[in-house]
Amino acid sequence: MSDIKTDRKDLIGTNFILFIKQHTNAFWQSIFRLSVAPIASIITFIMIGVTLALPMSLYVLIINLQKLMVNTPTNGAEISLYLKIDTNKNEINNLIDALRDKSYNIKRITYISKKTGLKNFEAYLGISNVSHELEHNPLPPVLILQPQEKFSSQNEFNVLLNKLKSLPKVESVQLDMQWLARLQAIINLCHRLLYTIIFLFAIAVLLIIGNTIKLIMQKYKTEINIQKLLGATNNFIRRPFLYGGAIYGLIGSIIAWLLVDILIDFIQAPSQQLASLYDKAFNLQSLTLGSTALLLLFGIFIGYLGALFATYKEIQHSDILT
Amino acid sequence: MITFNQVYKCYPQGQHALVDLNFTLKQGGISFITGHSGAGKSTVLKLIAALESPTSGIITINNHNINKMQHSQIANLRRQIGLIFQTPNFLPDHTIHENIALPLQIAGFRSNEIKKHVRTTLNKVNLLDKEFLFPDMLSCGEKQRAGIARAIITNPAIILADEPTGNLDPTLANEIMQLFMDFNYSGSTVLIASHNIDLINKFNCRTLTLKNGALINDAG
Repeated sequence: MSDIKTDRKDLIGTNFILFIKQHTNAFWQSIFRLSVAPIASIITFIMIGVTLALPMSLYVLIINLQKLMVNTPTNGAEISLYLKIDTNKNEINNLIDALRDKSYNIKRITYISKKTGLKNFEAYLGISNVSHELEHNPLPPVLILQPQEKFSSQNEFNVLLNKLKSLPKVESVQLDMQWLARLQAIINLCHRLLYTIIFLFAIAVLLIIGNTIKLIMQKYKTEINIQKLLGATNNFIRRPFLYGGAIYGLIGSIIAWLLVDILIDFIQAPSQQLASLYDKAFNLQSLTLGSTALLLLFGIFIGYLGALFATYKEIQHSDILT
Repeated sequence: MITFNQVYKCYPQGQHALVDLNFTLKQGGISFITGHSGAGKSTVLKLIAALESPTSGIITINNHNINKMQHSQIANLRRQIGLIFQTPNFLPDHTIHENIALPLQIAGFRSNEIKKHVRTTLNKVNLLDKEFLFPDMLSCGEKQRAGIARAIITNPAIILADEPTGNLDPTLANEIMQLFMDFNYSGSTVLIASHNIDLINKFNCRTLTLKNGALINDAG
């Protein structure tokens, strides 16, 4: 089309300025289109907000459970140190002395001799005279260690366990903190559940925004038709709708953030009351600045994607009516 | 230069709109295309503007085959063409100024330039005093002139007019035709589809006559 005449002098000098100008126009056009039907727009914002608030609430629940785990004192946690069967009394005393070193952070050490162990075993089984039936006592001497309360996570325990395993005459080490492992398992399950719910609700938001944009496009069918007739590119026509989708996503995620904050405020007092019954101080944590930013970006992205899906087929394949 | 080479257009219902159409329109010329209703006049214009595609054959504009153009190239082509219809389609909730400014907005003009161009163009078609009225507030003739203003505002290389005087009385029709002559003097290639032989005969221009989709006469 090189020799087709155009008034190039009148065209805006640089492509960059043209790009900014067209995007600014598209943005304001999308705001205008949303403001034309304010009630419908507000309802859609709330729908998106509520839909996003549900997975965000689960996320907040998980971060608070994790916080609870981190802050949980290790009262009741016990480490069983099974010694080699041939360990003599002197070696055991040396080991106990070594474990009293501050670097191990052990609060209490209880020694269970082979003989006591067998007696406990008999009591546990509810039978007597097991020792008479056996030629040798098969049970090892055991040291029960109670760590200090400064241990707050499974990882810290793992460091201690590895250290204990490397001690002389130690056969095996067992941490008795099943409840902590269970809580960790629940959190892991919640994480999986969260990813699934985020995925499903993201699809829901995508469909809500896509459908809303499709309805708006029906309203502007004449305008789209005329714009195509006058030589507007598909991107030019699509742009205000894409901005519309992104705005829906952004405002929806702001509403979701507010709802989660309100929810946290609402359950803060009862959760503190519950914590006080366990002689603990516990504050529910809301979304952090980083999580909030991520939520807003996620909302914008989903809104944009929904609008992109909605507009693609409609604009690309729409017939021009003359 | 617009060239039709063995162009056929057949609609899905089996109706033959154009049959083996061959012609060339030189750049900067003015031509009429005539024939009875259903002869294929509007189809020719729609094919040039890439609003429809031919069933077979090649249509070129300045040696570019428009049937092989991408979406963006077609959009670019349409920006070089001023389209005028018997009943111009305007956005009813936009003023005449806003409607006429649309092609400039699409082309990326600055708002102060748009304002200046719209006023100059409206002045050319004697509608400056109707600038801020809505389309429904204009008469048929005024709407047609507004449609012409929108088509010429970007100073297009090609002007395609489909029955531009169909709804107008003879005086107004002559005025409109005179406007097309003026655009042609300024260098645009003009193709006007009309069944009004009396009006066509008033201007000594090339006339293509279609009958049942076939070119039966090329005179002038």
